Amino acid sequence: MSDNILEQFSLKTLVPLHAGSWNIPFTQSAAFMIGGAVLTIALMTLSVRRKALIPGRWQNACEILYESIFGLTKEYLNDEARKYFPFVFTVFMVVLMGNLFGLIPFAYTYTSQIIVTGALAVLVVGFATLLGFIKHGLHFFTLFFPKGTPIVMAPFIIPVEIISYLSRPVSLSIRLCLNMVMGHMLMRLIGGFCVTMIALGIGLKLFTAVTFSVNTLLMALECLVALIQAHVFAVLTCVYLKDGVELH
Amino acid sequence: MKRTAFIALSVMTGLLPATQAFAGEGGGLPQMDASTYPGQIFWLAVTFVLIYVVMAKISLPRVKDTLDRRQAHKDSHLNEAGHLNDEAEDVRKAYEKSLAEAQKKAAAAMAAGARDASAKAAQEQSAFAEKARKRLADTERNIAKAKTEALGSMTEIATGIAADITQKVANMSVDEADAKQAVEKALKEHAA
Repeated sequence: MSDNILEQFSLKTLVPLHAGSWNIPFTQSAAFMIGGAVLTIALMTLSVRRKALIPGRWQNACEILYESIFGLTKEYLNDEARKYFPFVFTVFMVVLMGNLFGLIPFAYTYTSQIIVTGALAVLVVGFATLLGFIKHGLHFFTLFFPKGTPIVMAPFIIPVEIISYLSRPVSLSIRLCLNMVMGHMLMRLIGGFCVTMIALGIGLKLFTAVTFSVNTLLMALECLVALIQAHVFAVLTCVYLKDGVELH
Repeated sequence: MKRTAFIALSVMTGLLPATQAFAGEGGGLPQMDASTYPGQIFWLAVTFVLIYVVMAKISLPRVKDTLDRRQAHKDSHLNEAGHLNDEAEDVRKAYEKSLAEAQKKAAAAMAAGARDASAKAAQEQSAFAEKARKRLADTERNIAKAKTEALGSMTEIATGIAADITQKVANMSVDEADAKQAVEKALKEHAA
């Protein structure tokens, strides 16, 4: 085990791959992404293959995921919900799998990579913006000047709105990434501390027990954070899509 | 003292990795290594498209179908229950109606019965009273007759007794007609 608490975030190439001049190695991060995808597909497909009227345990889990995310989408997008539901659901599952997989010891948390959360955030905001232009054409720009604002305020309001719009992908990606990075760093730090104390043979068994307990509780907290962050990401996806579809 | 030193040492050794990390051995955060970005974006895109296609084309419609079927099943059952409830309500109303009718009929029959009974009772009573009065009259007549008879024979007995007494006391025979006359005369005097 390395002494570096950031060691856990470094990528290890499992299979080196190249596409032209691009270097696209199959890393352990990619393995967990594909693993998450396989798990998601297995859960959402195998568990409902019997389409039972009275659901079993797996089917119930699958239905809860479906209904909670569909309810969320419906809350923001109303009649358009069904059209964008698969998108929101996929975003949610990608983030959830990254967050939850990362909590298994030695697993890789791909949502701790700023480029991954950044790419997802750009995808979400980009998709919402594209929708806005397709649906409303140049009227989309009225998003930056809310109705009822006095015209005198325009020089102040418009830049503020534009900056806030552009900061959406930044805040979306940094929020998720930092939540994951900080949680894992803290757990690694306290875990490492615990291991060091045992290795040094320090006779403070109680102190070791306390740090170990703290880490256990931290693990539970991280499980909660993993779920909440995935949910927050899905909620914000809905909010941004709503702006694109409805223009306020 | 020793203990405090141990704790301080432990904390420091625990925190050591952190300082080392930020001291930066070859650029610090692995997340900032831009050379890994194309690969990560590529695999993320693969993952996203894979999940999206399977969810949109297969899984989510299937789950929706399952949920819809359950909803339809529930709705049909609720509908049926509603119908049955309505039917039960109809039956109850019919029952209450027939019960009220029966009650009305019973009350009428009871009233008629009471009327008949009282009429009959009055009739019987008057018939009995008539009969009783008749019998009373008969009895009174009989008594009167018996009394008259008894009184009649009394005169005879008295006549006999008077003749006998006269025979025995005065030793003289008395004519029956004379005796009778005397007795009647005495009775008359006594009565007066």
